[in-house]
Amino acid sequence: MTDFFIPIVIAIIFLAGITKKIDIFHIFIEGAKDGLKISISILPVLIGIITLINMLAASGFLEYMCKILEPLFSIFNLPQELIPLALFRPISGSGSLSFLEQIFKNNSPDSKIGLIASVLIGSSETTFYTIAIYFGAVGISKTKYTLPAALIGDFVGMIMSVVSVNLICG
Amino acid sequence: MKWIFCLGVIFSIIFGIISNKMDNVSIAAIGGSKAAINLFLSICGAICFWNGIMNIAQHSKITSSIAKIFAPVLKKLFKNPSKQAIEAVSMNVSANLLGLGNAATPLGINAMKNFQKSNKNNNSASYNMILFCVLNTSAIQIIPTTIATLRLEHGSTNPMKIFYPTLISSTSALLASILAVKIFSKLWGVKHK
Repeated sequence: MTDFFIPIVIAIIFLAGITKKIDIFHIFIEGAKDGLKISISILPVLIGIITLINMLAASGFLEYMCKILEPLFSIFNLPQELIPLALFRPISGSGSLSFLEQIFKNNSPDSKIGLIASVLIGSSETTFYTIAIYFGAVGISKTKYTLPAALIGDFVGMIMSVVSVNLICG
Repeated sequence: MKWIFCLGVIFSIIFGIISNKMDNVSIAAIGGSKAAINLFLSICGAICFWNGIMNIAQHSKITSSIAKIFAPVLKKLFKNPSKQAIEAVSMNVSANLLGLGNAATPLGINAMKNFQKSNKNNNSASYNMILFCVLNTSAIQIIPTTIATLRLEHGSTNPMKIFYPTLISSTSALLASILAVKIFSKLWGVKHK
């Protein structure tokens, strides 16, 4: 089902373009050219944020944060194995996916821990990265309360993934 | 943003010293730009491709019909959004809902550029920008394709068992961050008067 999805979306857009009698090839190239400009505009932001995240990850910062925040997370019944996952999620997309794979290997994906981990990852985004890219692309450096508001959302999402798995999957 | 950068570097040095991993930190500092270029190469093509596709969607008026569906909600959520901004946000939201993350990014940047046009202070985030950014940091998608595929690969008997829980937790995360933006914007307004 999902295999059909992307080609069909593209086909619908192409067909709509042809029925409206527009030169879809020319319009596509124009758009792709703008896409290149957008990509170039986010490249400096990427270099900054990725280097920073890699440095933080290499310094053992997150391991210490896991220890410090453990009592807080245990209030919300988050299994201990999932604390690094919850902390990594807003910071690094590829990092948290490799954590998820590790959890799937140690516990089955259908175990309670596996389910909570899946929901946790599926219901959140790489917050820092998204904020850096979006504001970086328009050259805004004062993001005001964006990060706290986004992190509150991530935190509620984390609590709710534990609650909803317990509620629905038993 | 500058504080995040500054604190990030300071933290990585402090914790690097504590855990005796300064060698790793300096390797990361040198190799970070290479990792960024690799990531750039892997998303650049997708951004160009989807921006091309979406340009066709815009010229064939698909964009404006989709915008009509979302306009009533978006007009309530955002403060005086322009027509172009509503269109861009609608397209970004639908790409996100369909799980087309790579298509959502250029559309989202497009929306940010539209919000920037009506922004009074071009160096500082407007309410609309913050709200829109927060919509994107909460994962708004109907089918968690990536995770379901990963679950299947690791031998899950029911990869889509997470469907409803994911829907519940992402919706509550979204509502919580929208509420947080509303509250913070009031507090921020009071502080700066």
